Amino acid sequence: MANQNNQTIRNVAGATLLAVLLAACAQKAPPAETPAAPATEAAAPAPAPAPENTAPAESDPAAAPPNEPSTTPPPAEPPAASIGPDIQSMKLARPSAKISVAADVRYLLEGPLAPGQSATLHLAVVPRVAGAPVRVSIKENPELTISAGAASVQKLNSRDVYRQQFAVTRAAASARQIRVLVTMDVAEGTGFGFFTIPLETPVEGEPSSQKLDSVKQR
Amino acid sequence: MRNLLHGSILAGTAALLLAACGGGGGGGGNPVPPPSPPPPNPPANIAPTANAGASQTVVSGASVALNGSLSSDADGTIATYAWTQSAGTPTVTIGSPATAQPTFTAPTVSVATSLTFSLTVTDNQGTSSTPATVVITVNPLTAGTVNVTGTIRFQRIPVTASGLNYGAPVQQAARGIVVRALSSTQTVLATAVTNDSGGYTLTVAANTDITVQAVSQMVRAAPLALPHWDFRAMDNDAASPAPYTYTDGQTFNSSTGSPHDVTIPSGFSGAGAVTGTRASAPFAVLDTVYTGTQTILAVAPATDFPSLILDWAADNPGGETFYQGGVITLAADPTEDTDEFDQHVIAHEFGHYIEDNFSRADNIGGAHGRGDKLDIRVAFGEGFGYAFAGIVLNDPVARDTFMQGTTPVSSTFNVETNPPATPPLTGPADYGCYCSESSVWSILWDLYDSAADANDTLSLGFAPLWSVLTGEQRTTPAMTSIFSFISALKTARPGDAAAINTLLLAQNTDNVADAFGTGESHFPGSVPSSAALPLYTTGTIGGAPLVLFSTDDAGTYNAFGNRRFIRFNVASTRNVTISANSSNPNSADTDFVVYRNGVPVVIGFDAPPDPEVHTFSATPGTYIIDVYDCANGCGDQGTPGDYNLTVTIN
Repeated sequence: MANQNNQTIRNVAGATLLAVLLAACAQKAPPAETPAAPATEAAAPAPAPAPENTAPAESDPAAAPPNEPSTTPPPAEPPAASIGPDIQSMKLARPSAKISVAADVRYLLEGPLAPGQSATLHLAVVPRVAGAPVRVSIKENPELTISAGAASVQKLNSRDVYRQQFAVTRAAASARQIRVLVTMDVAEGTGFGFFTIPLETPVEGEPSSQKLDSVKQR
Repeated sequence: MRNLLHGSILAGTAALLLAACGGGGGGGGNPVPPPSPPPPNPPANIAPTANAGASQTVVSGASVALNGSLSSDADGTIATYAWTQSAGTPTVTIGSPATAQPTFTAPTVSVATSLTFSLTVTDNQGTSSTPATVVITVNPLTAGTVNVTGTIRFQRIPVTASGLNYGAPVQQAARGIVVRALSSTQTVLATAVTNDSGGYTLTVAANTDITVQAVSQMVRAAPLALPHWDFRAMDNDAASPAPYTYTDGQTFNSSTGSPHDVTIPSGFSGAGAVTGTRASAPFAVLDTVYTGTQTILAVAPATDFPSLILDWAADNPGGETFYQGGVITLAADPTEDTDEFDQHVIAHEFGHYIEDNFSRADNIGGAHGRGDKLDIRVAFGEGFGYAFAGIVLNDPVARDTFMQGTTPVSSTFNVETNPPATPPLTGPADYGCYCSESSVWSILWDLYDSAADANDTLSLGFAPLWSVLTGEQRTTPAMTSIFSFISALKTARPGDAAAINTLLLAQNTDNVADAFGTGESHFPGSVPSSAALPLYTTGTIGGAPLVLFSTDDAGTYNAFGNRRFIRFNVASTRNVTISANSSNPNSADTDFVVYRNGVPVVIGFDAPPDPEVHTFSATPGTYIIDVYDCANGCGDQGTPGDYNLTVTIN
């Protein structure tokens, strides 16, 4: 029997559009048993699939978290829109362990992000399946100031890669990571996955933990 | 890679869909349809099986709950329950004897007394079971002691289609948990286990000031007869990990005589803010495990469950929910993703624990999402987990709540929904494949459930699935996948083979000739056939080198096409040397693992340069080589791509 799917030309048309959104998200609640601060405004509602060649929705780059320490340098200007670095040169953000979205998140931080310094973060969401509208938001962290730059979509192997740049200022050394929420519309609702971008440089020569766990890991 | 757009959005491209044609008879057929065969006789109704629960030992005055909830009917449902006392004196009054879990008060006795209760169940077609019995031993109260009774409940935040509904918490019985009576100096005076209604009976000295403490532990151990279990919800990263406790704020006199109920709070406000200790979380987690345990006991009443730790702590990060080595770790960040109330998520992870301990899980883990075309081991393990969750909760609609900014949201899918055979016109390309977790969960659910749909005429219930999981699936020489599972199921139920084949074909899977999927002809459109088929390449010791194609087209690490399987047989004990290398020109790092019945016997993870070579002593049997270029099969390492893997076996 022939493979039915191989005889099918994948429909990548029409409603493939997506919006890359930078959300000014909630202040992270302390992990202990203390009252959590009410979350601030979330990612904007998903836009309807856009017609061809329309601009993506963008968040307000001026939106800054409240109570920013006065010693924190002002955020860098959001970088100008560009496609950014080659996908394969970007590192993989760590996905969440449970069922997530069929997409990889890749990133590149231009330079070390020492406390008090700013750097440009290049973010790319690379769907592993075609036709999957995705949305992206970065969780607010009071120890980081993040301003969104322009978003764009790049075609890669018939899939839409969603790219955006951010200006990131690390206000405190205790800021260890950036958390990225990716949601993907699926047949019966919305799939989601949280991804982690570490701000600490991995120890040289450390083997991939995924490789170490690859015999038995669920 | 080529940038087609710079600073703008590509909204879409032209669509062209050539739908695969289904069926279609050959040419030249007889235009007159043959007469329809007579309808088959309906199968005879199978009598239900009564299960009167495990024996119990109680003291005079205790509130006793009988448990017939593990009764089952292979081809329908239980319609009625009928409990009677069949032996022993005195005769007690059973409250609500026509329910699954009636109660009675243990009589006052002066010597240990056995009371026998009989349960008969009747199914939805009116057929009654043979009676099942359970013995309740009543011991006399020690002079000067009294029974303190009450009910332990916990607050659950309900899961809705719109996320966690913090504004409408509900109280649920804390079933099967440990309860203690503490003295004023926090000394443990008595210990009990709550029944299926959350009720407890603590026997303590009369006229003693006590407080009641609930412990996030379910335990049943010797000298009680099987089943046994020991499930603990605790912070596994604590300096001295131990189950959580919730101590009631009231101290009362043990001779007060009135029931003392305790409700464990959630620690959340109606708006979802954390306003106190999230005390109910570990009890909510345990309660889902309790439900899962009942599912297993319904088909295997004398199960000895290995210990299980449910690692929940308020500082657990969001998204980090997984099972590994006897520990289920659960996400707990309410600003991102907290899972203590997400019953399908917990039951899914409990399914991994069940598969790992009672069946076999060759699943290599890794990231996965709806639509992914996965390594067949991963597709089966993850698909089984969510099918099992639907079975445990008797609800095919799985929800996983999370926060999108400040908005509660649910990620929802229905394991009853069969992915289409071809990619949908819009939306993510989640379509049928033996390499898709959604295909696996829909197949397993259709095998189990009693609802028929287009391709599903089966209603096997859980017992046949359990039999395969704990039988051939555990010992298969192949890797655990939908092929090994279905092959064993068809062997066990040849009369259902045709109906099973129909289910499989709807998910682009052939008839499953054997556990290796020999002869499988389908492959997903996102992966070239040369990287997909055959699912297992046959190798021979001393044979010509095998060249296998590996691709990253569906992703890396655990995606379909990253890793290739070779099977070979060893006729007599001998040394075997395996060598593997890759066509990857960029410092290729070819790795492999050799398995025997799912157990790794060689782990070839050497660093470059290639070739990767290992020699091992092999006893007779079938071996599987899982070989890959690390650029495709290790995750974030090297340059993924299309590579030829060359393997020799000598």
